[in-house]
Amino acid sequence: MIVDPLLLAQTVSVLATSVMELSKFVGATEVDVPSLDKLKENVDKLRELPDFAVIEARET
Amino acid sequence: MRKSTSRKILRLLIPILLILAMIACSQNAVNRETGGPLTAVDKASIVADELTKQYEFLHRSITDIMNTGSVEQKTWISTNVADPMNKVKEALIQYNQMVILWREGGLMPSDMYEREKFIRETLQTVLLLFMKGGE
Repeated sequence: MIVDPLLLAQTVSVLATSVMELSKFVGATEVDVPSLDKLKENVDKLRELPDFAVIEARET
Repeated sequence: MRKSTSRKILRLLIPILLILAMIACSQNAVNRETGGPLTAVDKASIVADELTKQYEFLHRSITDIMNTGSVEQKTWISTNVADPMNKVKEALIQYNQMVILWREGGLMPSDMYEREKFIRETLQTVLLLFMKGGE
């Protein structure tokens, strides 16, 4: 049996819209946003990491 | 409609719907703490943290090689990787500080995206160099 491509496209379109709408209610992904303290900690950690010239000098 | 045709259509439709659902869910990301949609500053905070983690990982790997690798490897790192890594570190410190200031009530810095692009591209370049150097 040959499937009408237009009908298939319409079906996908209707289903996609339904999924998109439903996801607004049930599917929202909760994301952890790093806290202000975490970002400050990042700055401190990065500052503590030695530059590669320093590592090199330490090795030689 | 024949049973086999229905199955074929279902097989086609299910993955499409799953992919659509995943895209829809990722677009509807919400801040777990506030429950509201992700703001521009939330997204910048996530980027700052993610790039910092990437940098830390690369730094650790390169430091390991500097500590245990051969003289050739150390020379190769000093020549090719050390300078971009040091520059990215400075850029990352500034990026994190920008986001902190922004979150503390400041304005969005104008060169935020350029800085993010520079950090991403340099990290990618270092990674590529690393992969090529390891061949």
